Amino acid sequence: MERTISAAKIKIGQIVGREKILALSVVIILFAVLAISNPSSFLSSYNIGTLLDYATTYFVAAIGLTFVILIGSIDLSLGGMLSLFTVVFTLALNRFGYIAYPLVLSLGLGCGLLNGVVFTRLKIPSFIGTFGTAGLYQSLALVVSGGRPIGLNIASVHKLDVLNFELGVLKGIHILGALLFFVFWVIQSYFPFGRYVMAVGSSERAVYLSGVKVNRVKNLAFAISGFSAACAAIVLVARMLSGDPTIGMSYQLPVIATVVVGGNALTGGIGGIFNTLLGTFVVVLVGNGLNVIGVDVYYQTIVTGIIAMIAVALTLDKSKVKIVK
Amino acid sequence: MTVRILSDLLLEMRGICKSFPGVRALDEVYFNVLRNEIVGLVGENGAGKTTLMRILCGIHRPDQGEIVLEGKKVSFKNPRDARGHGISMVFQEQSILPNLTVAENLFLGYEGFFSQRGIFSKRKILAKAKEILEEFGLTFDPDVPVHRLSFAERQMLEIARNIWSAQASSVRTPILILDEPTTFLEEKEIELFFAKLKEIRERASIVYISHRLSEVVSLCDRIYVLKDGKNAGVFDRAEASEELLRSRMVGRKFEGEYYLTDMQGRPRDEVLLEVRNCTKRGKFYNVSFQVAKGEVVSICGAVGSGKEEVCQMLFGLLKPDEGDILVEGRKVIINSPEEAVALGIGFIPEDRRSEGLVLNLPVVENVTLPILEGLRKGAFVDSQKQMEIAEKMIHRLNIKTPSPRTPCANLSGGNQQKVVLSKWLVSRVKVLVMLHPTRGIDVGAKQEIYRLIRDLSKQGIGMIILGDSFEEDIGLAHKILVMKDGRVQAVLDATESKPTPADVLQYVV
Repeated sequence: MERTISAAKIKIGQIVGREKILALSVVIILFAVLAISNPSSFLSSYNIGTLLDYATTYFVAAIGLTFVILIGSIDLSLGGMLSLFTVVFTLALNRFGYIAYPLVLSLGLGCGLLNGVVFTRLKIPSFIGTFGTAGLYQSLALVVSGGRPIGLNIASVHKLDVLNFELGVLKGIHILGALLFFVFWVIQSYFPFGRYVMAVGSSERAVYLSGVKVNRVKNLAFAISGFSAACAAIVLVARMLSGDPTIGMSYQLPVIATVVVGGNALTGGIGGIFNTLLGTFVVVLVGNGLNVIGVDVYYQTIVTGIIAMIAVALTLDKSKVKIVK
Repeated sequence: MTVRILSDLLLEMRGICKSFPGVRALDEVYFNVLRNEIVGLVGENGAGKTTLMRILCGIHRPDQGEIVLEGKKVSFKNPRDARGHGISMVFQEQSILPNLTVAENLFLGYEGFFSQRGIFSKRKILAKAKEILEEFGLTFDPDVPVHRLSFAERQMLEIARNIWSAQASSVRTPILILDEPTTFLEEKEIELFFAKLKEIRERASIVYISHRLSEVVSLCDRIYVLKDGKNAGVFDRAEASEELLRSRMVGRKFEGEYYLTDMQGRPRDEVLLEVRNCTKRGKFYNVSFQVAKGEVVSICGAVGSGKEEVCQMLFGLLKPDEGDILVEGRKVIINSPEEAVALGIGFIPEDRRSEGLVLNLPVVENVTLPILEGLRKGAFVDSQKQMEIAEKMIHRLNIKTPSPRTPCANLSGGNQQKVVLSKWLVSRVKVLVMLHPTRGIDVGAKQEIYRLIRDLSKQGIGMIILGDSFEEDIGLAHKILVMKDGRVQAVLDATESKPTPADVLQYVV
């Protein structure tokens, strides 16, 4: 028995946040390397501000996706939703004013819930189901906007002041990002939902046989993903002061990469919001760093691709996933 | 005898030890296979038969001990490695691919034999397949997809494949391991199967694992008995008998003491659960029984008797076509596990590791999994209360764990099962459906589970149990339902006096 106990202790030590420690050290090393190699441009307040802008956008979009990935599913409609929501938010802000905020947030919940229902009720695998709804959202974005970016009125721009006020390098959107991190961290750690997400991702069958409403957990995860896409759309509009019906496409894969690079296993059950935060910094620092150091744009995607692969190879739990497809 | 051993010794396993977390599965086990013999391997569930064979065919590695094949020490890194030495196992669940044809299955991984410059000749494959099938006396067409074959035919195909591939890697005498091969065969098929095995013995050695002692005694040349992970005797066919084997396997006659029969309480009069004329076509027909407060009802029957399905129905995993289920006198319809739990029914699934527990979550999370929603303070989980409940359960069921925060994966089988049980105790179930609650846990832990079942019975919880052996069913139950081909054959009382396994068996077959 004693042997079992000591063996157990060692195992716990290995399990607790191995992937977090890895991601955190990558972030620190990246930051240090960039700060030392080119302090004048990397540490300039302009660059730090840009970095935070990007980080906020990615993070806010990725935060809800984290739950979907933690239950072992995927949301490929994120790009479509981002496109649609920026357009709807811009139009609504121009026409109805502040109502636009609750409107786009509920639209986000609704679209996310639709993804969930397609998955749980129609039993279509999320990879295909959200691929399908992605087409729907993307087309809607183009139809609603007439295929062109939509600018904000001067009056509407002021309705974004909360998000655009500046406090040194910090802006309103950065604070929103921090706030969302806190809220979602609480949901993950202290709500029954958050615990169930982890359990479903680890062993859905066992959770189902415990009498837990597994479908409700799944639906909620997708709804939250839609909600966070709506938040990300608001952040995007605050930054660009316009709605763009094609902007989502360029965010879809980087946002998934953000979640995965931080150590959230695509197979579910491993990771969390904090991992996504770390992943965001890795992705943003690499992207920004390559510019700061002056790597040719043509070569940059090679580096981001390789980093994503290394991250997954390091964080994939091979004892849990016997066959990788 | 001795002369034969010296000249014909094909394989030796010496002093094999193997431990899993919390369980010593094998302790200094010796096992030999001679050339061209059928060697039996018997023992109770958990005696270590499967582990020993998994070591032999490269799935597990031994902690200690050595394997000597044809006088040379070997160690297998994986099943493929063992196969290369001619050792292969035929599993109950079959490892052939139903969507491929007979010939494709036969030569899976050996396509190179039939190809020239990467293009393989279907004509050659079919011709060779036909030749091999004929060698084994099999008459089916090599060009049909395997899913059209019967279970027995598929089994023979798998055996033919294993022997052919061993010979293709120029092994003189392949070793074929068969794990409970007759479980799914009809009586007629079994006779035929044995005749085939005797033919195959001319070109291979066979390790035959079975619970059916009569088969083992009539078929095998020598028989090894394992008990609690240790050798408990080797017998020649001449000296072996069913009684001898059984007494060696158990090491005791049927003893009520082992199942704590003196602790058995009486069921109360109040009926908790009633199943009335339930039918699920193709699975079971007209099943009726009652479970009273504190009553333990065992359902006995072979695989395919419908007992598993009856249990699934009670937990909302399968809907009956006809008939009623009553909980405390009220008619209910159970559509899903969540509805079953709401009615006070708990379920201990057969596969503890993948269905009973979320293995990589800590004990505390698993214990409170069904009641998490009810443990809220506002919107938040009351972590303190959650921890209190888990600690109470750890104490009450004597769960051996370093801490409530230890992942369940690090617990031994018996302690894992106690976590599964405690999950239902905290949700205050009235009825517990248990599928093989003592499967794969060691003897001491089994006793603790039996004691818990007695305790729960005294507290008035009604239980439906599918035991791992007739002895276990008889020992634990107040009432035994015997099922065959989806119908209840007999209801035996086991409260006043216990029936014998033979009493039960006569209705099973």
